[in-house]
Amino acid sequence: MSTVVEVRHAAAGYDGREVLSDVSLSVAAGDVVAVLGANGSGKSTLIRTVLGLVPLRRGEIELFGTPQRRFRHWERIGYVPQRLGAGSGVPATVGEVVASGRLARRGIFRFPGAADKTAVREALAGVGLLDRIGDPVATLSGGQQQRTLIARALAGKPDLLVLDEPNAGVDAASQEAFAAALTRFTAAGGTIMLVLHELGPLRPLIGRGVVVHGGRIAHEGTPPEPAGHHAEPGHDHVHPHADEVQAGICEWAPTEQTKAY
Amino acid sequence: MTTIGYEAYESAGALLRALSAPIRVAIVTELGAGERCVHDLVEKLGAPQPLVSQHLRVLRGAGVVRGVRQGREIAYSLVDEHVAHIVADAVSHARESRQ
Repeated sequence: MSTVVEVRHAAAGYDGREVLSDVSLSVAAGDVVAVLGANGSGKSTLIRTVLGLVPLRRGEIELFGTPQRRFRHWERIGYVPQRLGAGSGVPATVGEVVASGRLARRGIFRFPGAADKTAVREALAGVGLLDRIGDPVATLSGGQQQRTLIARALAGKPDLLVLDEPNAGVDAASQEAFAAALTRFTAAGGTIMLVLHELGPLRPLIGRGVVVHGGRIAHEGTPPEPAGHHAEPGHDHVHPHADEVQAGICEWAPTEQTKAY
Repeated sequence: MTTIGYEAYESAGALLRALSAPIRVAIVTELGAGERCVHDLVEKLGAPQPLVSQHLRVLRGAGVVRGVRQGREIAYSLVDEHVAHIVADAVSHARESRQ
């Protein structure tokens, strides 16, 4: 079984503050790994370091067997960052947003073809939103917008899907819908690494949980039982970064090249 | 060394950290040729849009790039030309030292 993500003794952090001090983690093809931990434990920092968004201070990271610094096939990775808020008012449709997930695969000067259209429709059907393909994203609920973003990542036909708190602030129906979509993705051989606050409907899908604590992996194994107030249904799991620009779903905006459906 | 002098080095360190990922070097090089929207960069770099957007955020946070809304899109450009020169020099230096 080939290794998709290999992290060896990684240390990473932001200016002057080391968040991860010694993290080792191996994700094989077909694995579904949940990164768990308390607020501020470094869950998001870990996946952002894997993606090269946070600089590695010590240690090594390999993606698909290539050292991260030399890795180029970013189109193999689908990424859904933590949700930043509602749409920015850009009047893009659901189909246009999902079609933008094909751009990294298409390259420049290639207009959308049948494969793009099929991928967009399949991805939307997978999250149960095909009937909303022509609707403005702004008319969707938060959970439906999150499903749209996951469909956009799936439309790019990634080998690895990286999700940062995909369930945060998302209604139960949407959680179920994308649990189903992720199940199909893994059944087709896809690998998933996701940051989670609670396992929720994704629980049956998770093969392994790693708990980040004190800058290290404190626990690794089958997912622990939910406990405490975080497990209560009414708990609000949205933890937006205060300093972030609220770009939301539509920082990207469609062009004629992205009307792929 | 004066405190002011050291602070200048700290900012320079922050700038170099912001430029430390190859994909961000590629973004700055691309923006050195002119203003670009996210989809232009996505197509050019072959990296998914959310990843490119997050890298742009790192660069924006370091004051390297700025984004200006233009109709339906945000157009990104370098805050000043110096950064383009620093990156161009680093790229050509790395090529020379490999030969």
